Amino acid sequence: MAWTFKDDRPIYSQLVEQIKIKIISSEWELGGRLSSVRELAEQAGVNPNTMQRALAELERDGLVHSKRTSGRFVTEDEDMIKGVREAVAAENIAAFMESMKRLGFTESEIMDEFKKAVSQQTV
Amino acid sequence: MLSKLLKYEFKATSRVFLPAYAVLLIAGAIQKIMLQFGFYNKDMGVFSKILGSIVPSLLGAAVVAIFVVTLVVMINRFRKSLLGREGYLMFTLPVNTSQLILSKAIAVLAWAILSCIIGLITVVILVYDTDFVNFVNDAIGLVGEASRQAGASNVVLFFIETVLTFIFGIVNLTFMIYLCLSIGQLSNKHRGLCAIGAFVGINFVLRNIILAIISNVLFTDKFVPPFYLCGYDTESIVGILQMMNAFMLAGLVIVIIELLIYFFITKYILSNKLNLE
Amino acid sequence: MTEFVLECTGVSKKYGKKEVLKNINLQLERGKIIGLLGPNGSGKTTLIKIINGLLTADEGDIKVSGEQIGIESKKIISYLPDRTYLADWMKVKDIVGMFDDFYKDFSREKAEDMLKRLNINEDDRLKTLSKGNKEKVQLILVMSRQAQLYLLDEPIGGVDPAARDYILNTIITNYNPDASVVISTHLISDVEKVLDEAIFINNGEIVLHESVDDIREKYSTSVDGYFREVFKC
Repeated sequence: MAWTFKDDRPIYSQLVEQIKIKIISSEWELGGRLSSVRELAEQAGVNPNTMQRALAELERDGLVHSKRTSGRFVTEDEDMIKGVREAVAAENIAAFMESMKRLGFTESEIMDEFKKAVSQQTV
Repeated sequence: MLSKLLKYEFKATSRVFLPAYAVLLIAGAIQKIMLQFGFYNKDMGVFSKILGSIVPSLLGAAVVAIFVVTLVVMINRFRKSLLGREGYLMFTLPVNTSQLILSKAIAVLAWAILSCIIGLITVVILVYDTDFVNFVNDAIGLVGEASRQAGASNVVLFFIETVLTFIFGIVNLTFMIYLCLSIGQLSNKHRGLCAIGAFVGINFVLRNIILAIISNVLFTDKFVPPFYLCGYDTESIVGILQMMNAFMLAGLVIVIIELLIYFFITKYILSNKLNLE
Repeated sequence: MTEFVLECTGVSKKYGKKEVLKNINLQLERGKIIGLLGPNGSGKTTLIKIINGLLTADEGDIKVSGEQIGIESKKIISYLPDRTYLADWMKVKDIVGMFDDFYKDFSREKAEDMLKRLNINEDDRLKTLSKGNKEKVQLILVMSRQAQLYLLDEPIGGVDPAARDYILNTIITNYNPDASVVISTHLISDVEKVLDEAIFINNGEIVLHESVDDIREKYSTSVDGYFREVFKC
């Protein structure tokens, strides 16, 4: 997945979000070794200090951890990834609900619309 | 760092001078061969007539070209590579302004001297025959005679001063041109015009100063010789030569003082008032 | 090593009667990529030229890693001017050799490697290179030095998007925690992502010096968006 950035938020927080998704979606494998900060910064086209800051935040959250000499690794804790996955999903749903409500749908209407859309997709 | 600057200065200028020298020497040699075999006198129709006009004019053009090229290089290497866009590189190199100015001046001086030597060689190639050998022998004899009469040291001093006057004369002209170009670059729009204006101005001022010196110091009404020309015996050859040497030395001192003034003003302008395009 | 790679105190400059820099005070830390952002004619190039020693400030004091402007500061500044300064008659290898000769911190190997990756032949004369390739050669020369302060004046002005990406990538990959890079430009959205800090300069005055993420956090907009707001006509 390519890196894209929106204008209204700090870049480091967007990096954190996008890396979380890479880990959840297994684009970055469980326990896998991360590229160096410089390489990641180059890939994302961002400042190395910003990338460093994003990784430091992920490290605080426990999603990645560094070994003294061999670099940074994705966590091997599947439960933690599962937790993050649920949290991200909850965020997305909340955002979805929010925008639907702004369109004037009630919660039950949203459920109906949602079911309709899913059943159409599966046909 | 000066030697590194010189290396690049010679690299940049040699691609102009070396071909010019080659043309001069080759044209000289061909002309000599033609003359030697009386080629121009033989009736070989149009061909010899064409060659007979081309080679000498080529030779003449090459001689003129070398001196023009020397002057153009003197001006352009300073104007383009320091005051033009190349200046953005030159003035951010870890060297000081004096080194930049000197590298240009030393290179142009070396080429000017070499141009004269090559010109001399061409002349020698052209006129070399028994008469010329006799002429050189006579000249050497004359110098020897002069040394005996006037003292070898005086004659040697005379030659040294002549050579130094030539060399410092070139440096003087070089630094004067550099100063004019540096003054010219202060202007944003009319660099060339201002440089020419500075050249005219400096020469006008100088000429008046020299005139003033000549009329007030050298030739007063009573024709009192200046201090440094006093006490020479103007009746003897030794005395006259010594007086001439003293006179040239005075001239040399003036030339050197002038060029130092040009140099330091140029250095000041380029260090403090640089105004690149 | 000094804490700040660049310190400007009360720097002012006039061209005739026009004040182009007014009492500039600036401190740049090491290991940062900094945008010097301002409209055309705001004083960006003048400030960069003064730090380089191409112009002399009328007032104020400038220290580059603690050194006054002079030979010592020139040794540790790597400067990319907003125009090409290459002599046409030179071959690529001549100018590489020249940098190698004059700058102790120049890595010939790095330059040759970067040239090779761009398929620029070292035997080519600079005269024969396209404008874009000339600019890239210059960038390669500048980035192949292990300098402490890189001053890049409008490095992405008038280049195509591919060249712009190449330039920004080169800057990121050459990141060094002891050195700082100053990028002067008015094309903010193009460089924003690679910047740590933004300096806004207008009419010869510094109006803002802040971290890019702080600006985004505070004003909920990109630096470019904030810039447009500040400099609205």
